[in-house]
Amino acid sequence: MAKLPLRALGLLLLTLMIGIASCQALFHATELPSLPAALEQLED
Amino acid sequence: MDDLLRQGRAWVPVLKATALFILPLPLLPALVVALFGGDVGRIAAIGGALAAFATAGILTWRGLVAQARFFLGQRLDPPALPLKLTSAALTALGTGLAAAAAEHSPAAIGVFAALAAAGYVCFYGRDPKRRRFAIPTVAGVDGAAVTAQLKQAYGRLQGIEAAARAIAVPEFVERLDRIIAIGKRILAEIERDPRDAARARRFLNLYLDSAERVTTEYARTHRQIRNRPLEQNFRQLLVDMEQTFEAQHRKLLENDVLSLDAEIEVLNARLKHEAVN
Repeated sequence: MAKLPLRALGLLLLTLMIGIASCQALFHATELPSLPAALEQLED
Repeated sequence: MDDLLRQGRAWVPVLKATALFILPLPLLPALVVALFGGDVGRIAAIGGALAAFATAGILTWRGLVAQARFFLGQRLDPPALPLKLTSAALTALGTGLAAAAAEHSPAAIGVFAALAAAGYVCFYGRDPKRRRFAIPTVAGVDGAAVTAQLKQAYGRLQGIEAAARAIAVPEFVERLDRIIAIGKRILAEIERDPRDAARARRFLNLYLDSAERVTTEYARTHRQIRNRPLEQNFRQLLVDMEQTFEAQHRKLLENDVLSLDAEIEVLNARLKHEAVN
C-alpha cells in the first residue's frame, strides 16, 4: 500500500514524458503549430 | 495462462506493460507524415523511438510475467537478464528519440530521457533479486541438490504467501503467516547445516507441496463460494500444519543439540587422553 503513491508518480512521469515528447514529434512532423503558437495566432 | 491468471493479484501488474504500447501511439501518424515528407533524420528518430518503446513493452511484459511466476512460486529464479532495467534504458532511449524528433535541445532531450527512466522505475519497480544460498561444504552431502531443494521450498513458501493474500479471513492469513515464518526458519536451519535436508525430507518433499496446493486451491474456491464446513476443515488443517512445522523445526534444533553434545564428549575424551599421556 505504501508503494501506491510511488507507482502513481511513476505513471504520471511516464505519461507526461512519453506523451509530451510523442505529441510534440507529431506536431513537428505535421508542421502544426504548438499550443502556445496557436494561441498567439488566434490573438493576432 | 488462463489458469495462472485466475490466481489473482499477482497477474494484475502484467496489464501495466500496455502503457508502453499506448503512450507512444502519436508517433505512428508522425512516422507516416515523416515518410511522406521524406525527412530521413526525423524518420530515423521516430522509427527508432517506436522500436525502442515496442521492445521495452515486450521486455516489460515478459519481466512482469516472470516476476509474477517467481512470486507465485512457479519459477525458482527470476530471469538472468534484468528485463526491467533493460526496458527502463529502452524507455529512456525512446523518449529521448521522440524528443529529438520534436527538435528539442540536447539538454532537454536528456531531461526527457532521465525523467522517463525515473518514471519507469517508480511505476514498474526494480527486477526481483536472485536468492543466494551460502551452503557450507559437508562430506557426503550434495550441495547442488540441497540448493535446488531449498530454491523449490522457498518457491512453495512464496506460493503459500501469494495464496494467503487472496484469502479474506484474517485468522487464516495470520495462521498462514506463522506457518510461513516457521517454514523459513526450517529452511534457514537446512541452509546452515545441509545435513538437515535429509532429516527434513518429508517436510521438503511432502508437507510443503501439499500445504501450497491446498492453500492455493482454498484461496481460489473461497473467492467463489463461502462454505462453513470447508472453513472449519481448513482451520483444522492450518492448526495441524503449524504443529507439524513446529515439530519439524524442534527436531532439527534437537538434532543440533545432540550433535553438539557428541562433539563435546569426543573433545572431552581427547583432552583427558592427552592429559594422561
